[in-house]
Amino acid sequence: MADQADPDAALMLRVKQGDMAAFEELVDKYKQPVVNLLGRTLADPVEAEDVAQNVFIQVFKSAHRYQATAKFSTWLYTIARNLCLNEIRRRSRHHTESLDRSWEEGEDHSIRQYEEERVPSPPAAILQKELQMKVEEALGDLPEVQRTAILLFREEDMSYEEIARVLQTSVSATKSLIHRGRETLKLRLKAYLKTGLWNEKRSQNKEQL
Amino acid sequence: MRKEEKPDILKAGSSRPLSASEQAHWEAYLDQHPLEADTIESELGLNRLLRELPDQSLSSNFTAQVMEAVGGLENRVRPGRWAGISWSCFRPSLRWARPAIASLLVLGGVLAWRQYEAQHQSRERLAMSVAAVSEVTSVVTVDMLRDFDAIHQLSQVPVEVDLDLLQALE
Repeated sequence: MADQADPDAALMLRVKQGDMAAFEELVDKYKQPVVNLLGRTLADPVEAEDVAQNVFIQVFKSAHRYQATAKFSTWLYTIARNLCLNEIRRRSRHHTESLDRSWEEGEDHSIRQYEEERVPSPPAAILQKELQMKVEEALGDLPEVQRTAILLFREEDMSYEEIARVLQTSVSATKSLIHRGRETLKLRLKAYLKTGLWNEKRSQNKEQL
Repeated sequence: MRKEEKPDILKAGSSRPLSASEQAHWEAYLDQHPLEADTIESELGLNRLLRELPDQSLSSNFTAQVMEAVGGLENRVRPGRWAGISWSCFRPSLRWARPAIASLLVLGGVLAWRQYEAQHQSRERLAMSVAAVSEVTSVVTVDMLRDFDAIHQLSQVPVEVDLDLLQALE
């Protein structure tokens, strides 16, 4: 049974029985990874959070159909990706709508509570911030399926097989997507990839010889 | 060291910093494959950049908002206790339609049976009529038909009872 190896699947089976505390625990655990995935595809943080909420609502609605045949995270990210793609399609059909539409409709955004951002500080932090922006930009320029594959690959417990299930493709295609995406990123971010660690060690080894 | 171990370490380095043992593992690998140093460094460097990406912004009451949203759903749909309830919005109309459809079928069957019976009875009557006519036609002969006119004329003459003849015959 998948739930024996996957504690999240066990939690989801409890949700299936009406355990709201189990559902809350799953939301707490996966809200950030889901928002991270959606935010880097939808770009709009408010929209990404809305879709993320819908992901968990859909998880709750589908609880009675849930079967622990795969890891919970695989099922969750599949729902997240599908809703994300639906949102992209919706946008493409209504491309004239402003991203501020929700504000014009008087939607109450004051209920969202964000942590106060840190005050920018030393130049190192600024450089780090700029580097992160470059990485985000490079990621954003990738095709959606490559970007999703790479972001899911970051998750520690997602295997190639699980990522393939989320992307609804084969394992070999998944590996190919990740490889091509990474090659593009390495080319784009070449100047920032050298850690210096290995060069330093190799220099030390040469001196010792 | 096997070359196929390389992808596993790449994955480990993508979500968290390499542990001391993993780092030692890579150093040993590089000692054996010095020509791959640039490739390995770029892979590990990319892993580090991806790993250090900051989290996307998320409201602190996200979970509360989700729980509030599903709370309304729970009153209508309680997962587990009402498994399969998602079809319930269609079932009520089917529930009402079932007896109606059954009634229609029964009524249709009754009407069809009655019609069949009516047709059967009419056939029976027709058959009996045909049989009756066929009996008559089997009794009537040509000789009888020859005297038909005479008999027919006799029947039209009023009959007076001849009592004298009757007494004589007695």
